[in-house]
Amino acid sequence: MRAVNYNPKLRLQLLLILLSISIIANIFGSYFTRFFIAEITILSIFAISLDFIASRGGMVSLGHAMFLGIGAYSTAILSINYGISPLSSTLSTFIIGAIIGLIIGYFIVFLDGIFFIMVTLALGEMFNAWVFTSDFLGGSDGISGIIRPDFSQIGIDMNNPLTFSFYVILWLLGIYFLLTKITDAPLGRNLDAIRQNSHRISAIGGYTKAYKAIAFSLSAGIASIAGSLYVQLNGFISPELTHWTVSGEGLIMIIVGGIGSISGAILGATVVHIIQHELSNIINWWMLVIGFGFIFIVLFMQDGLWGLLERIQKKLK
Amino acid sequence: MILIQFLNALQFSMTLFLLAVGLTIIFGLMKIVNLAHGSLYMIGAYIGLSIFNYTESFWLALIFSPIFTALIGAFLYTFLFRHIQNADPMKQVLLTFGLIYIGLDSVRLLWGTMSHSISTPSILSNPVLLIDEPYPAYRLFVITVGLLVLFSLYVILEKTKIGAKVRASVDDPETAQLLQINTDKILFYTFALGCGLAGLAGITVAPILGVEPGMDMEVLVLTLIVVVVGGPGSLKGALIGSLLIGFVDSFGKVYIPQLAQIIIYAVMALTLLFKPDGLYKR
Repeated sequence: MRAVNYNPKLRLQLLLILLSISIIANIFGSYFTRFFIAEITILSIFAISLDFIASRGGMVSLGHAMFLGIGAYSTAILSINYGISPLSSTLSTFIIGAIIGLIIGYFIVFLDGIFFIMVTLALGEMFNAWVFTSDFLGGSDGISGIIRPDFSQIGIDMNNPLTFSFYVILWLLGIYFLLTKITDAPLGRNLDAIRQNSHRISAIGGYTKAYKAIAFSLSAGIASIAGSLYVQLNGFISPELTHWTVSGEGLIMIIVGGIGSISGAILGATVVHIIQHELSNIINWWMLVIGFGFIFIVLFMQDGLWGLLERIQKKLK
Repeated sequence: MILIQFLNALQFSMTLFLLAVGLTIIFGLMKIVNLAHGSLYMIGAYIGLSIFNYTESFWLALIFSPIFTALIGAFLYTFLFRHIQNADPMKQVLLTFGLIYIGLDSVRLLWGTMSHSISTPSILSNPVLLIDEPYPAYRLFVITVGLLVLFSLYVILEKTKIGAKVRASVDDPETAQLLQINTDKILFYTFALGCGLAGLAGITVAPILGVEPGMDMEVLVLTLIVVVVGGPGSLKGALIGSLLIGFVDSFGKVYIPQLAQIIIYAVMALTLLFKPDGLYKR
């Protein structure tokens, strides 16, 4: 894998631009626009979680929709069956996802390249198969009746899409800053070193497996938060959420945005989701266009939109 | 009853084998996992459907649909796969992921979203009596096709010079090139052959399962599991993997329907934990 993007300045600029656009669109937009913004923000969180392990850890997960599902189902079960408040359930899903991620990560991080992709795919599909047959999880009907956090005591109505969008944007910002800090902290540096030459790290006494497992676990936890917010947005879970193509689309988002820049993942999620949505409104052969688009980007745009922005930035200097 | 179950499982295993063989050879030669392999299977079935509707002959469909699928494979290799051989695995996987979208939508545009069926040829439409139990003759035919392909692949790969060249290119492409083996040409033909076999799998199961959009996804993951369990790049592995997964799936669905699918994934997870290179390492 190629060297990772380190351009904190552009990273922040891009984030601020996207943030201001979403805030303005959220305030002046219609009901539907606001819902759409919340959806994009949640997908961005998911894309960031994939981006983090793909860029820092060199681990490409085609089964991350499993963690989206773990987040979604545990939120539903915690809040419906056990009456735990929605906000605490979201926080708990992070822990649940991270623990499951740590256990799975411990066993699979030694695999590299294509094998890692295949194993995560199989694990994700295993979860998907289980969800579809489990009566406890509602089988193919999913679960409905999931409520959003309640902040009415301080005068905020979360059922208003305006406030809920801001709420998920806050989550995105929190995760963004956590990950930028980690990227620049010893954990991130270690991961970079391991990705570039894991044998050398083992030789100088570094813990390659532990660091990769921790990174995987963190990413799993973040994906679970995305799943949790997603069900609170929609109020119901469909088991389709855990299908492997969801993970594939997440990976496409980070390829489109540019791997390793965090902000690029947000940009990618925004662009891909808008295109998918708008195209499917206009034409019914949108999948054909998107398929060709994916191939074009993989073949000809090495660093995605982020690479394009970097080139523009260099020219402006 | 057990005999019927056994034959059903064998038939399913043979279909998986036809699919896995192409995928595993492509992996062995190029180190690429082609997620669009299932799409070729679906397209093979649809092309067969069109030939069948036009000529009303199943046999023509059986012969020509694999040929057309192989041509599509040759086209894909020349314009796409050849250029991403040394790319990073994530890009390769996502490129083939894009192909899934294209395959699914092309099928929907050309043949519609309805599910279609191909009737079994009259000679095979009557059940055969096996120890007092009637059994569809067509399924026996599918098993025979699978065994024939298995046998011919074995003979070609193990007994002929071309087969030796293919094996050499899989094992060590650089040395093979030094020995004046045109690995690029070998890649081209094996890729096309692999895709053709996927098409053959598609047309042979069409009379049993019908033809519909989405049939690609159903087999894709199972085929990937067969390849990973058997050991990517290994023909023997593809056979053992197909039999293992085919039997576990067929018997599992009958005796423990709740857990059948999960067991398959568990088989794969266990194989990878204890034998990360698959059951048959090349």
